[in-house]
Amino acid sequence: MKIKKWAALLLACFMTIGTFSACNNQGSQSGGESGGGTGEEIKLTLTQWSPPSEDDELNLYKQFEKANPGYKIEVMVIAEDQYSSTLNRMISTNTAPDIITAWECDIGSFVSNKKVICLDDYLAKSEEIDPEEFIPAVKELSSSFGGNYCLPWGYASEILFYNKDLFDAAEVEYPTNDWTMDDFVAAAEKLTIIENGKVKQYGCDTLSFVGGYWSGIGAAGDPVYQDGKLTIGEGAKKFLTTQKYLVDNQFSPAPSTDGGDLFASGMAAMTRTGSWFIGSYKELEFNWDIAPQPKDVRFYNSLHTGLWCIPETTKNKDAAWTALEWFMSEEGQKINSKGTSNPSVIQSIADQGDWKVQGTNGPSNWDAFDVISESGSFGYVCAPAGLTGEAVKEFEAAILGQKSIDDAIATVQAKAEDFE
Amino acid sequence: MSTTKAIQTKQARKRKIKNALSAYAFLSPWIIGFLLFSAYPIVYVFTMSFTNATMMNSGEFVQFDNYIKMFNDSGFWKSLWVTLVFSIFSVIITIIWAFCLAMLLNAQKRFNGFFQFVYFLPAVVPSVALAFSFQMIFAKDTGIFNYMIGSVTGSNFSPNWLYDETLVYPTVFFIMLFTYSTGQMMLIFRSGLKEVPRELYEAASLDGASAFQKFRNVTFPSISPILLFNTVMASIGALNGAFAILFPLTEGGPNGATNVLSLSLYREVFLNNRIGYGCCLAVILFLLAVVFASVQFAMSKKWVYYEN
Amino acid sequence: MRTRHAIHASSVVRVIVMLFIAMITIFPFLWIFSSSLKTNLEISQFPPTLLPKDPQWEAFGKLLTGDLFWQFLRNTLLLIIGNTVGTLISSSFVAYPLARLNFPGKNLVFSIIVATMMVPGITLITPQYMMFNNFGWLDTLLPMIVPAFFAYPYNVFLFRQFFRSVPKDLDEAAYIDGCGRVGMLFRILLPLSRPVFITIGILSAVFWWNELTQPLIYVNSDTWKPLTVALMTRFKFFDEGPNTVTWNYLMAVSALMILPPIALYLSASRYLVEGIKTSGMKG
Repeated sequence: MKIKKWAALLLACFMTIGTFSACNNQGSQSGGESGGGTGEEIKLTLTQWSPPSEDDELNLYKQFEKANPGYKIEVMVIAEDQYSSTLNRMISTNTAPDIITAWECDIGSFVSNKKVICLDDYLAKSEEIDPEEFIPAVKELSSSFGGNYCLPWGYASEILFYNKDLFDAAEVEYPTNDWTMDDFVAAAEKLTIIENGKVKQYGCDTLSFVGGYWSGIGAAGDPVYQDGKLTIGEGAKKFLTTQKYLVDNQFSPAPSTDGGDLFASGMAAMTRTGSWFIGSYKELEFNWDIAPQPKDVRFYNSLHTGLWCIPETTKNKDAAWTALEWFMSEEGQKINSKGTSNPSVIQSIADQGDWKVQGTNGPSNWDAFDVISESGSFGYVCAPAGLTGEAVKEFEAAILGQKSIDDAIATVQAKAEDFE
Repeated sequence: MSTTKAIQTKQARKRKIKNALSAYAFLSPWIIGFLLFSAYPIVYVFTMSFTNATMMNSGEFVQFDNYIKMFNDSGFWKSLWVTLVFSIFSVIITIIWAFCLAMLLNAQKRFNGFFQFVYFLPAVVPSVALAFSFQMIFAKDTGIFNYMIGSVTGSNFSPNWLYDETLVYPTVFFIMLFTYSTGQMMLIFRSGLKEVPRELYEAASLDGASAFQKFRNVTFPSISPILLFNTVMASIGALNGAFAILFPLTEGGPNGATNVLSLSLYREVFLNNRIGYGCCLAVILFLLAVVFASVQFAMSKKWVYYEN
Repeated sequence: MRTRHAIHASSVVRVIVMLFIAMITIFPFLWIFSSSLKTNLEISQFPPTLLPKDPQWEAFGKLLTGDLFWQFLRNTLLLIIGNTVGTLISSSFVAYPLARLNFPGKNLVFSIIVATMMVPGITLITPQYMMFNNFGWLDTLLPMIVPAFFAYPYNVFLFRQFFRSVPKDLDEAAYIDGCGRVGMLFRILLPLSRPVFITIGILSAVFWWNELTQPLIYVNSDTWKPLTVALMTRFKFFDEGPNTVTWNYLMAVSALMILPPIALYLSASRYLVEGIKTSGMKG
């Protein structure tokens, strides 16, 4: 009796294991190289850090499936703070999916280690994509590899968002497209409301997106990324001193675990964050607008993109190319621009302005993007994500007064050396 | 006579061999598991700690470079110190808390089931969820805790609980009170206290013992094996479980104040892809566990070999 | 009279203290439920609200009608089932000779088992990761399930402690009746050991319901993520772009994740306590 029960249990486990290995095989073999119109569905897996749009019309992958029957795209969403490391791990263990959206910091090593394939042969045959049309920063990147290994999905930068209603209430003039850091600090001071020693309203929000630090440091004169290395110094000192001044005087909240977005909830009058927030903020109830991030000794903007590539290990290279070709086509790029509020890297498509996602109460100053595209460059994004992440922790510690600004910068410089 | 004896010894020997063979047959899953999942990894960690391997390539032998680098890194010493402080204090604090709750529950007769349920409640919240909810509760500007302090005291005291180098310790230890292991320890203490014979307390009362004397002379000796058991379990958990709560809660911040070794190790290996250096940290963590275990072993003879 | 009065006063104080502690322990729990019914905007407003102004069930609706939550739940359940089944079979087998048979090397084996219990899992995760990569098991649940079939030291330890408490005379009787070793295990020991099986089963289920570290490292794709990892990686930035933490979804998933353990506590807390105590403390 009992033995039978145990035997049944054992059997059940082997079956469980069996199911797993079966599922596993299915996952890796689906599609195959064939794709030859047998009516079989070709499943492609793609990595992204940002979840696809909930609206099917703006969902690039859903639209691709619609335009290309027989294809199915599964999006592997990896949280941004683990994105680069997870991708690196998948690439080095040869478990990467069919299409990866690599970051600038990783693409170099993927290319030099021959982990992603060269797309030049495909591009030569393609009528949809002409790499010559890409914006200069991307062309530069490809030429440094001696070939096209990746296709950029769009670009973004950091931008200044401001709450017009709060500016009006405090009778402060709106930011202009040539605002300086001093103007910004002065406005933040005027916009801060402290009642009985308790902050009711902050002039500006804390730098919740890491890119903000690097744009600020770049604007203060540091090269940020030079000769293949993260390079900061006096500019960082100047920028962090300003940030600390803002926090010490409560014009800006200290880095904290604060739940939501103080700008969205109307508790901070300005915020410096990613341009893709234009889409997130489209339903805000107050009037708002955008401006370029304040300049200091110069305008500086960190440009961000994602680079679609096909890993060497994928079995569906041709199918993956079909998808990439469609993503880069005018149709695909327009949908992507609308869905992410990121301009296309193909100038002629970007000029059509599909990325300008108009919200109910803002924005109107789209000219801010002209400043960005002129002053934007791939900066910190080229340095390893682990390094820039640790650097931002150092900056936060300095702003909180836990270590001196000089110490923090020295630590980051040492770490930059260590990362080579 | 001697032949029977010989047959007997032969039989006994046969039985002994059979015994041993079947014993090792039963043990075989563990033997395989031990070699594959413990012995080999330990050897690997020690070997790789002398290389500069990364995820991309297997690297080469670099002698003691990793160790030299590690011992010269002030971040490492801080991390080691934080690990010790965190492990020792979290064990002490959670045990005292669990014990006090069990004592209270033991004294309370009415609504006992209700109280026990409510006291155990935080333990059922997965640590990730716990970490996120406390991030909200202890947020500086929008957190409800600071708001409550403000409303009750009327002051503007609003500390940055999880981002202050000093305050982060009490905050994290407080959060540790809500973890599963604390709840489980409370339940174990509780059932231990239930079994302390009533007569002992009554006898003590007759002798005119004070509450403290009763605790010292009756309660404490009766539950000391349980106390020891909980201490051992909690210390094993402290080195291991720290990751599950600190990774989502503080990620080692602020300024490395909660950067325990397991977080450093995870970061080096799985974020920065430095396997060689990461294995070096693993060796230290392993040695730390050996030290912990030796102390435990000395203490634990009492409960493991209780029967003898 | 006086002493009764004093007792009364002290018990009032005690009840007040207990109620205060109850408020503390119940608070995070209420906070999770309350936040799960707020909009993300309300969560970032000051002053914070204890209860949602206008309860939103949208997050729950979206989670329960979508595929993702169920997919992650399935993975968590697979981990629980695979591990529980695996460890119960293998650990009880391994514990049997340690508790009931005399053989050379017994003490050595037992010492090694107790020693491996103390090794923090994270120290060995790097080589294990590399090994599972060679097996081609990354991004599946196999690295977390297969080892369970090779006995976890802690569970072996608990089983061994329990088996030792079963009187040895029974073995002798069975041996005289012509039972072999396997027969003894199945006919004598296992039927008497129901409580320890349930206890270890529950402990394993609770452990894998909570486990974050291993799946965080071994699993990348949504297909095989369990709920804990999904909470950190998928629900944290659910539908508002990459940098907006969707606290309402985080809290809604957390709230859903609390319910099964509560049910487990209400139905099986007896085993949780007695099992560990009897097997852990008595030899």
